[in-house]
Amino acid sequence: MALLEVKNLVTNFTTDQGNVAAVRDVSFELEQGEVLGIVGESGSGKSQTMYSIIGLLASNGKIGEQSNIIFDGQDISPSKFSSHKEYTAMMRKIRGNSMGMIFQDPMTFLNPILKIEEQLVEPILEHTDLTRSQAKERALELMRLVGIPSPEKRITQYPFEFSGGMRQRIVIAIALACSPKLIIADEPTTALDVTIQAQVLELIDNLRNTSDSAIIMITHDLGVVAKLCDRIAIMYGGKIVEIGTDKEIFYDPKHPYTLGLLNCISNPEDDSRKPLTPIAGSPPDLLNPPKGCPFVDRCEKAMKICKDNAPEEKQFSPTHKCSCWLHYERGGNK
Amino acid sequence: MSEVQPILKVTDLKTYFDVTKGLFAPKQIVKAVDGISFEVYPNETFGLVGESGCGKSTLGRTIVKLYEPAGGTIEFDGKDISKIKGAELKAFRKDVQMIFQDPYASLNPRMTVGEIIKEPMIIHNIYNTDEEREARVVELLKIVGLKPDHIRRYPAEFSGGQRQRIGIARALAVNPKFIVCDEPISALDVSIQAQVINLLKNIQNEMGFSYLFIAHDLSMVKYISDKIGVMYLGHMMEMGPSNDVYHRPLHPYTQALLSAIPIPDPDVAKSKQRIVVEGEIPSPINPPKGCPFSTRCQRATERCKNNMPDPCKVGDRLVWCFLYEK
Repeated sequence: MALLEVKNLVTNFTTDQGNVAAVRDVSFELEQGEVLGIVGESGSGKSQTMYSIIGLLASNGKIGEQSNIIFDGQDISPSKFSSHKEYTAMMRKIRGNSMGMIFQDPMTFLNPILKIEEQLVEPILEHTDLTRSQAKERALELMRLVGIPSPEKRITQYPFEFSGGMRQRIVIAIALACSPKLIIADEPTTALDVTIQAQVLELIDNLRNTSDSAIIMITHDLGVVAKLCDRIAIMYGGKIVEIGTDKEIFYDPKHPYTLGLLNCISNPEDDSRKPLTPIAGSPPDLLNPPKGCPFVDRCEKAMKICKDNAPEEKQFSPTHKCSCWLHYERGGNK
Repeated sequence: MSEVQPILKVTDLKTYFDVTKGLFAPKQIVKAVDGISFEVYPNETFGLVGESGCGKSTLGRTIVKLYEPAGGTIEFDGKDISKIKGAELKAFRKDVQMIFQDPYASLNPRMTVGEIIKEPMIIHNIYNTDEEREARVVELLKIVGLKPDHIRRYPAEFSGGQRQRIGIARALAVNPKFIVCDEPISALDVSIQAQVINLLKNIQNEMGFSYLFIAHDLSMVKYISDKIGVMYLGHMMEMGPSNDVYHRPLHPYTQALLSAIPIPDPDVAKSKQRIVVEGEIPSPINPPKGCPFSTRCQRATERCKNNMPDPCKVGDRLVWCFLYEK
């Protein structure tokens, strides 16, 4: 059985301007020990998909009644709980325990007025039976694991005394504190410099080799997913438009958006300086989500059917799925 | 004197900031830019790369005279502009424009697009009547790929990529000879980045001016630049034609920086061996005595730790490293 199963996830936000359909019917599965990359531009719904799973949606966000989230054999869909209070109490037990999180900006994640020791020990004391001194031992062990030099001294310091890369290592150590089964990393290296990013990516790569935690990596950087991920989901306009293994997505993309995304990054190995092929236009406004394919307005291959009918998912291999009418004969005969 | 003269010639430029805290505290100076020299030729793009805190943005801002240099000279079009003031400075600013990183912070939210693009024309007295200015704004909007009816709208109505286009139109409004682009695409989504890069290249081909292109994204810099300079802690480490620097990096820092770029190709990325640089950039308040990279360099010797290397010429390139001494 899959470690995480997300079925028909729908997340809406109530705003002054109206209803924003941030996540529109997203389904995927994740096996133990697997690294799934979720790639998308800002506003594609990639972060809100994850916040829906970990139960950290803003107060104006709501997960649809039909949405199913099954984690480690347990149904954690909000609609399955009798009250919101019960749901949040359940999620508190899971978060930081069997589900770890790594966020983009370590400075806003860490509490600036608490010593590193407090922040590392907190989840351990909350979720395990360890005593305070045992928890501190565990904290020191975690700091060594993520490569922080002289942890005995560093553990007594405050976040501001750490550099950006070191702070992100602390955040990773906190995520690992209770040996989670799933780690959700939301743009973990975006705020870091290239050489520091490489260090942190190497650390994450080592973790996946030494533990059997599954990782969901949210990013917009195709280089990062190429390095780390086993499978990749491409999100656009609140939907997963294509999902497959790293090789299927990079070497055999089926969706015009995936192809466009791959074409508009410059491959530094290529010296030709030929013009980049950008994707014209900008992403859809999810206040008024398009009825058909979300990519229709920017797609060069758009057909009549694309405008009004959302494409059905087509399976290309056991792992490779894509939603695009191009892969149906005569647009699926519609 | 038949040779083409550089449009910009920077010699031993220094920009220091006083960060002393308190009245009686010991004086603390950040040497953000510490002895940088380079030249940019007409119609050329010079890419400046480096990690945060290396001084690349400070260098760009010093060149457009947003900061006062602490030493060295900046020659623009054959004239030293490092100490000019008043009318001379104003004339210089007409020739040199800047495109900023954050398209949300660099446009006044209370001005319409038309007013934003017109402002530099008014300041520099380029057209006589408002009709002429308006006509030019419409023309500029078309050049950057916006619609003429966008002229009465406010920045808030535009997406990040469109705002960056407005910033570009504003820079073009005074027909500059030189544009400093400070991380113009790093706030934009991938699919939008390519649009802006193509636009920057097209307008350069059509209008003919030079860019100083500042970024931390080496692959984009390599794509757009003719020459690349690699900065670290206020110093230039290596400088040369962009393909050479990218394919045969000489300085250990450039090598480390390049090997750290994640390549968007799973087979390459998963097999690539990174040159490990441990540690982080030292504080610019207390920089190493010798080569700034010596604290993290695997090939550093005692000499590197105590002496700053002079530039060594290797082919078309300059490398500030003792390894390449003849």
